[in-house]
Amino acid sequence: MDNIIEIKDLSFKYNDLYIFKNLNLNIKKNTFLTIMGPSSTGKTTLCNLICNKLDNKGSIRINGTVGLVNKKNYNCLVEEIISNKDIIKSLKLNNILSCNFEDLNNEEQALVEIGEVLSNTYNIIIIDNVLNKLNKDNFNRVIKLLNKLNKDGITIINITNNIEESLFSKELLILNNQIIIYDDIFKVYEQEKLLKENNIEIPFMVSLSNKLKYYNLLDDTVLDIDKMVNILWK
Amino acid sequence: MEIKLNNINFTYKKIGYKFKRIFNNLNLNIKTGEITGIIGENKTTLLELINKTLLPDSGTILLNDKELNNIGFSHQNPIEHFINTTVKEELLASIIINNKQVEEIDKKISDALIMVNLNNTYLNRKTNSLSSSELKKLSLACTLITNPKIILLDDPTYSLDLKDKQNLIKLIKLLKKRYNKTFIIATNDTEFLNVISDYIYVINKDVILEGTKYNVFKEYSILNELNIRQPRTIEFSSIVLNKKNIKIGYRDEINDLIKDIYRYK
Repeated sequence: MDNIIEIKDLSFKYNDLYIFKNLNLNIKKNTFLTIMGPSSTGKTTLCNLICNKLDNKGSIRINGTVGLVNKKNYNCLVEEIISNKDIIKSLKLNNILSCNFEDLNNEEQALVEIGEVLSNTYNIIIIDNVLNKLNKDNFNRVIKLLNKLNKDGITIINITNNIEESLFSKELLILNNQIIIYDDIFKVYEQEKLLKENNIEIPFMVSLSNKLKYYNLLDDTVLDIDKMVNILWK
Repeated sequence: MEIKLNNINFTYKKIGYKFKRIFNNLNLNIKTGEITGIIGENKTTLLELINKTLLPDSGTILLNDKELNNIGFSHQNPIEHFINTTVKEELLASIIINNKQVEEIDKKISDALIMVNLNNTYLNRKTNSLSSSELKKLSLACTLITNPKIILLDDPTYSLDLKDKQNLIKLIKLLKKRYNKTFIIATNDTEFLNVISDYIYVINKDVILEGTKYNVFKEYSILNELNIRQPRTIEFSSIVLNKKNIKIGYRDEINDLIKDIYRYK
């Protein structure tokens, strides 16, 4: 399959501290990739490198345009940041259009940061630690939009510390000393040692399903609580 | 002893908001020596009021005299509050800004770093080279180094991994137990509050719910309406009660939940 990002022999350091040493990484076109890993292993640095914001030794080849959703510090009105009517509607930003970005609360700022990037056409969208600022409804709205873009051929990369977000993706990359992309996410959830070494929990519903299966109370993994309750109490 | 907020009214006077009413006769009694969780909307504004960095339009905030000038605030986005230099200078600045006399400064600095799981190798690191979790930890260290009685934490678990969170839980519990510190924690991370808090307030313009964790977290429909996710084990029990009218227990651990499911199935 085509790679949209190819990283070869990449080394990067802050002063004398190496964040990456000879990193090799290929990211498939049109994947929906979740990047996790212990804190301070270079997840944000990796996005900044892909977005060409940091000098480095090595080669990074990108086949397309990249939109980065991360913490911004705008001092202007929301309507000056986002004008795409569909995005304003689907993210329900109408009420805050005439507000100054810096007066918004953290979650509203996150929605605007997402809306700004989704308003433009990019081949790759990278989200750095933003989805975990959203409440349930907003999170679901954004995931719906991302899934649609992914269906239309856009490559999505989401960086997070919350394993629950990985349930919505096609692949999982655990960034640590060894860098492996797993294309069967549910196989990863079974690898207790790997998760523990990387300070990652198992998603709640996967863990609950596994235990219920062990006690013969359930046949298959169920991710939706309502559905599981209906199976358990028919 | 208590921190009393009486009839607080506060209006946000910024463009676009058109005098948005944030608090409408808000009343809160926060016990000192306890860990109080704040969930919902306008959480940061509430912390700013307690910290006296914002003043209410009307109403009073009463703290015990000695504690009045003894508040530490670890912010949501620490980088915005840092002076953008090195880790060591950031910690020194925190001491100076808070007008504290600190003896054996080097030892205090290294103690503060160790408490938050950083260490002396960070001393000369530029703050703009730190990861978001390291910034969160440094912000907490800057707060702890001034030895405040009341500690305000805004969104403390943001960008922390599992191990960081477990360390933070241990640290907060230790500081409460050994030094009788008061914590007021603003977050929508209900899993975290479920492990740590003695008392919880759910707020928007006013107090919507208050009580011990089970009393607050079992309120499925109110929390759902407010878009607040319950701790997952409690959410499960709530949905069983709601859909099937079967009352299984409210549990913190998955294993206890499994026993209940087995019993009631």
